[in-house]
Amino acid sequence: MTDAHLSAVDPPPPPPAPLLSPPLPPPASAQVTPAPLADPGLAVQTSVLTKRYGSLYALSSMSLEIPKGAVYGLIGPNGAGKTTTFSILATLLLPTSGWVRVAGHDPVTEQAKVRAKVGYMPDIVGTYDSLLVGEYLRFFALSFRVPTREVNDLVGNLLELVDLTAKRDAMVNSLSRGMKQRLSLARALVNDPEVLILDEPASGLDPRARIDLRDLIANLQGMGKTILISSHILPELQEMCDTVGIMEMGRLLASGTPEAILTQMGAVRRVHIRFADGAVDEVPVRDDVEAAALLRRIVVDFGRDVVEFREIQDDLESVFMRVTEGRIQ
Amino acid sequence: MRMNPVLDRELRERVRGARSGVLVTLYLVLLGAFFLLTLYASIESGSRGGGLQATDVARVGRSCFEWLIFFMLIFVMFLVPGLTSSAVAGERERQTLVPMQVTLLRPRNIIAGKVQASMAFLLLLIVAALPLVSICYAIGGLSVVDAVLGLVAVAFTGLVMACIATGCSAIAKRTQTATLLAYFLTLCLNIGTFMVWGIAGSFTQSEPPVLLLTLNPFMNASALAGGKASNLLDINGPLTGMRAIVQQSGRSNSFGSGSSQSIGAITPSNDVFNFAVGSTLVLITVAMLAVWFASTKLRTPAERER
Repeated sequence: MTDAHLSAVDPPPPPPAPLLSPPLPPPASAQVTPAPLADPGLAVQTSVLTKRYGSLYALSSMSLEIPKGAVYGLIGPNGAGKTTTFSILATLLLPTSGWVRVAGHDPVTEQAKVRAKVGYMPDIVGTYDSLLVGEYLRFFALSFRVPTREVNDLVGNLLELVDLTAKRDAMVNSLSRGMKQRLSLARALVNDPEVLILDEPASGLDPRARIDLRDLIANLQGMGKTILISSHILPELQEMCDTVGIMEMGRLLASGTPEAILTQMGAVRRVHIRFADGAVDEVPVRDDVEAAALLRRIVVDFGRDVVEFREIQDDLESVFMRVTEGRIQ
Repeated sequence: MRMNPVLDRELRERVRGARSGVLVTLYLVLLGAFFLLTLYASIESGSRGGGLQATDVARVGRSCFEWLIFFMLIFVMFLVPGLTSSAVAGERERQTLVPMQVTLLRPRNIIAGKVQASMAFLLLLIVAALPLVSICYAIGGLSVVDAVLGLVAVAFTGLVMACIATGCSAIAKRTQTATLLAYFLTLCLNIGTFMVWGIAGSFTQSEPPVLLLTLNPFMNASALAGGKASNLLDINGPLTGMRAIVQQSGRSNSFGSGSSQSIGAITPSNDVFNFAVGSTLVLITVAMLAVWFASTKLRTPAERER
């Protein structure tokens, strides 16, 4: 039985509306507006944040609120605007319009204050291969004006946190990719940041290293850090994050807890049908009544033999695949 | 006072690699070889088949020193742009620039650290050459002030070249491009200025204005290193030769006070002094512009848009 056949039986429900409707692009004259006083309960707050390059919208009217202590994951295909968002939060880019607050400060007007409270780990881990692991962290600690007498203890504590104490006197270029990723995370922590921004931290890691990273992030959350993560590895993001945002083409299509997104994106219930002749199909249903009616019509009205009829639940990945269309600008 | 973290890191990286050791060794071997050849030639020339008189010995010492400074300048022209041109471009290639930009370091701190690291290496080259300078001093014809002025001239030239190479490094995305650009500018300053000066001379009946040579690091170094002793001796050293251009030009133009008497003058020349001051100011301006430009290129997009 094909989709076309099934749709004759019962047309699928209309596609769900995203939590945040795709906004209209802001007018060309839009400017960065001064941020209002920060909400003390929020670590990151953006309002109609837009970044435009000529006619290209890298980020379009993103409004986001991330409470302190949360682990927030941004999911989206390449070119969705995740790195642009993180770059604005990390003071590397200026928004074209809208406003943003990070750790209570405005990255547009208070760069130094934001940098002092933010740890940023870019998607590509750049390291100084001729340095020792301890020297690498020492350099960044001094760059954040950590008092010289405190640097040694700080480096020791950070290496212990990321489980690299034994590698303190090893050359950076002797580390595995997973170790370099952990070292980079330690680097992002040298200024004891309130907000950690991790761009694709699990990229290229083996399963073991990913589990280590997940445990480390849980550990950091336990220390009260607010953590923003972008990733393409959706199931892991779902495990690590309290709240998730789905982005595409510079727009935040949905944001909330994974459960809330699954519920609010709608059509998460489908039935998997396997017929006696081996044909398989999946049909969206609204509720149990509709599922029962579907089964009755297949068996009674169409006289087909059904050997399997079960409900399947959408996971975040399937929702992501459905709400994003893989478009790039 | 805290050490610049970038300088601290650069020094650690430089001493760890074998490249610095190899370069310094090669530099000393070549410099020593050139120095011995010069010493031999000067003694042969000074003795004129007979023994060396006291003034001949002084002439040999002074001549050897001039050639030593000249060779040091050539090595500085080769080594400093090559070692400094990776300063910023290398950070870009290694993807380490962004993590550094999100720290509390300002672009000017980063550039200052890079230039200081180059100067530290240059200082190593100068210190390594001190035994050869002391040989010249022991031979005679050279005061301590002359020796210091000569080494200061080398250091100043190295500083200017380091600033220019850092500027090139900030423009280029790749180290190779930065290195080529830095060497091209080095050639322009050292040979291009002479070419322009020569072409200008072909269009004028009188000596072309020496002002055209203020950008030339060799001319600047020769003027800076022009000690009093050199004016009391008839020397055929390279720096004396270049100073002669200034003095000759001073007689036919009005760059200086016009008080010089002759080439290899018996009295100290105001033309050379004025040229040294003017050329130093011009080169300082060039170096500052290069550093300022490098700092602007190191700003984040947010800082540039601001």
